Amino acid sequence: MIHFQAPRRFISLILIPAIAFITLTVNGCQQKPASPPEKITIAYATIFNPTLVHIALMKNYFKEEGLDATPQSHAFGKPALQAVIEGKADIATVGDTPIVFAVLGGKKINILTGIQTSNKNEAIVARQDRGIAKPSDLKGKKIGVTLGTTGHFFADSFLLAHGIDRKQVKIIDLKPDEMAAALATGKVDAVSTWHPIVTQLKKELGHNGIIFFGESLYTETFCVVASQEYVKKNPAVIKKVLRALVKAEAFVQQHPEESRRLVAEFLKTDKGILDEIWDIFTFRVTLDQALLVNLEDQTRWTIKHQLAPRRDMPNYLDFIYLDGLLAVKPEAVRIIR
Amino acid sequence: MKIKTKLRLNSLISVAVITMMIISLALSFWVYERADRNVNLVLKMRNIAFERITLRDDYLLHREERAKIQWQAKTEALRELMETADERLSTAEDKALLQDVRKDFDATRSGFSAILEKHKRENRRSDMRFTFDEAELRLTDQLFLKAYALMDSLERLRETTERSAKMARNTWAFMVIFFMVGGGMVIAINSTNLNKILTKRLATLTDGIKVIGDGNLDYQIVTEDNDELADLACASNKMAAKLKQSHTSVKDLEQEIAKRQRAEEKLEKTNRVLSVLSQINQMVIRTHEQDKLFADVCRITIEYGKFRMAWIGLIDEHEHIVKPISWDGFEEGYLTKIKKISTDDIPEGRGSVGTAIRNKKLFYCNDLANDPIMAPWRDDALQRGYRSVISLPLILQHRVIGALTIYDADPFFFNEAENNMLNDVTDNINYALEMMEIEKKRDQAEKEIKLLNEKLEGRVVERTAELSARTADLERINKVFVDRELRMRELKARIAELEKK
Repeated sequence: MIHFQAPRRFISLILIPAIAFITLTVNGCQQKPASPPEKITIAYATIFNPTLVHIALMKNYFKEEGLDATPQSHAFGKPALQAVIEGKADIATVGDTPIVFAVLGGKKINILTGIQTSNKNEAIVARQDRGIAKPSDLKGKKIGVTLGTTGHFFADSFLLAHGIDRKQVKIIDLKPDEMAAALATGKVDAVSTWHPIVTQLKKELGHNGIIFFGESLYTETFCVVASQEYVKKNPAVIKKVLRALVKAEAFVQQHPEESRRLVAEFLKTDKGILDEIWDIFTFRVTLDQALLVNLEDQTRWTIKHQLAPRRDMPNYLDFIYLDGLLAVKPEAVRIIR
Repeated sequence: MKIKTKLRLNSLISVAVITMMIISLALSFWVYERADRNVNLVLKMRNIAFERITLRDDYLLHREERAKIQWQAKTEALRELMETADERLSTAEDKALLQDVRKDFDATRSGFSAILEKHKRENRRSDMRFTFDEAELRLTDQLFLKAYALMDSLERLRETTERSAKMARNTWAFMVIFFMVGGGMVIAINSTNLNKILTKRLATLTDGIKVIGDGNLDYQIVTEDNDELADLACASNKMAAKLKQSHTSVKDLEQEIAKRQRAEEKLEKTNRVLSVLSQINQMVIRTHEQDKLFADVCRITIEYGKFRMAWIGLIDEHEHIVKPISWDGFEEGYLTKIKKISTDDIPEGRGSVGTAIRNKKLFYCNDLANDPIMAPWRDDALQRGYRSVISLPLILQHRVIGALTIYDADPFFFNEAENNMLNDVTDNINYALEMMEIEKKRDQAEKEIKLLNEKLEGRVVERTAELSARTADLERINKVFVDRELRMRELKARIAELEKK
């Protein structure tokens, strides 16, 4: 069967601008007042994971979609999600682990879309002078993690995969900005964290530093979330947000160099670091089955170790808002329904 | 541009377009084929990935070495296919998706390898009851997760490659239709335009040639462009100019011929009249009788002058009419049928004869058919082929005695030169008449002298007798004789005088 897509495209090329011109002209003649942009507060993490949000902000894609976006920066995803939970922000960029903790904590949130995945963003950075040359050397060592984050889950998976019992190490809760000092002062022997802190720590430790990755152990998924109430009240805004992110996704795919420059400028960070680790990230607006598996995997972990109040497996489909992405980019919804 | 050049250019363009069409079609077909091959490759990759999942689950459930080996073989096969895909896929989107596939593939491979490593470390016996500890579950979860991701990536890649293939197929179909329809339209438009242009140009040319053909040699065909039709138009214009030139020459020649013909005709007319004049001059010397003179004049006029008819009429002083005395030529009863020609100034006398007689000079009418003065005789004259007429008065001793009338078959025959010569003819006739009159009178005088002589001789005889009788008497009277002698001399002198007269 022959599909005449090319002629349709050709006709569209002519018709769409013509219709747009007529519409604009008619609207211009009628001087219909444009509706004011809808305000939205976006809590974003000042790390590389929410690159699509950074690009959308830098390229004014939110504004193009009729949104008056107020960016709200956070050091990492967990406090950004907390801002949404506390009603200080409308949407947030956050990794999968804080989402699991939030859901198990009874928070009514919706995942709007995944925006980034990587299985090499988290790593354990250790001091060799503390006798750490291989993963098994972590036994008996003090490991700094930011509890309730992807770093926490990665560390647990890493230790488990290498046959190290949790009781054989001492986990110390550290904020990301505290890790460098904790490592330097010897408060901890190793830290489990993410980029760009990993790169920064490696540089600071120099030859004394050693990094352990675990590609097969954990794949993080960074998401955009909002409260279920907000989603229910503002479905149109959600679609606008998703459209802006889809634009950013296209821009990143087509202009990776320019994207890195913009993100580095936005985060006021060294572009060299981003250039170095850019390839470990996959920036895609999607809701896939892997996200479900990931969330359930981490949920089993939290339940087993009683890290969260809830003790049963929630149906994460109730916490994933499909309609928005289905309306904006249906082919990006790959969750088995 | 010349039509020949245009046609050649059109042919070149057609060849170029056809070549371009063939190249485009071949290229698009090649793109379509390549896209189709890519789709098949990705489908193959997806099938192998699915087989890997089946083998993975088989292994995780039964831990059979065979499943592991098969899984590893499929992994290697998938890796090779990814290498092939890396060479074949060309779009940035496909490349990016393939990169995702590779990442997910590596993740599944490392995840499964980690599980295999764990099993190897644990060195489980084949008959050992399988248990999934937390670490293995975690690894398995991650493996599942990555397998989903890999299948998703492969599915995305399949979608994009199929989209590319569909687009390539549509492009190919579109190009086929476009070139067929577009080519047809171009040919139709080109042919229509060419026909329109040629029809218009040819119509202009044909109309122009028709105008020229109708005789308007001043017409200039409008020349457009610089092609063969323009050359033809120029040639036609030049031909018209040359024709005009030739036409002028022919016209001049015709005029010259007509002029010469007229001159010849004039000369012929002059010769005719001159012959009449010459013959009549000779004739009048030899002719001493009036009737013969008139008859010969008419005969010579017809014979040498080639006139239609000539006649001489004399005035009947009592009836004031002109009576035909002699004629020749195509008379056919004309002179007896026509109304009597009067010498008076009445309609019957206002014809050429009457007018010439009254005016004592020639009178002519060059258009018998239309001149009103000839109305009384017109029909009869025209019936006999008379178209022009001249009448010349015959004068004897200063008195008009009649007229010579000549008819010609051509209108406007008589003009000044001919008329002058005919005047000479009549002068000669008049002279002959005068001479005849003198001769007549001389004969009469001679007769009188003869009579006188006879009378004289008788009287001489009588006188001689008387003289003889009286000689004696005379002698006697010598003086009487002398007187008689003197008287004789006087008589002789008188006779001589009479003879002189």
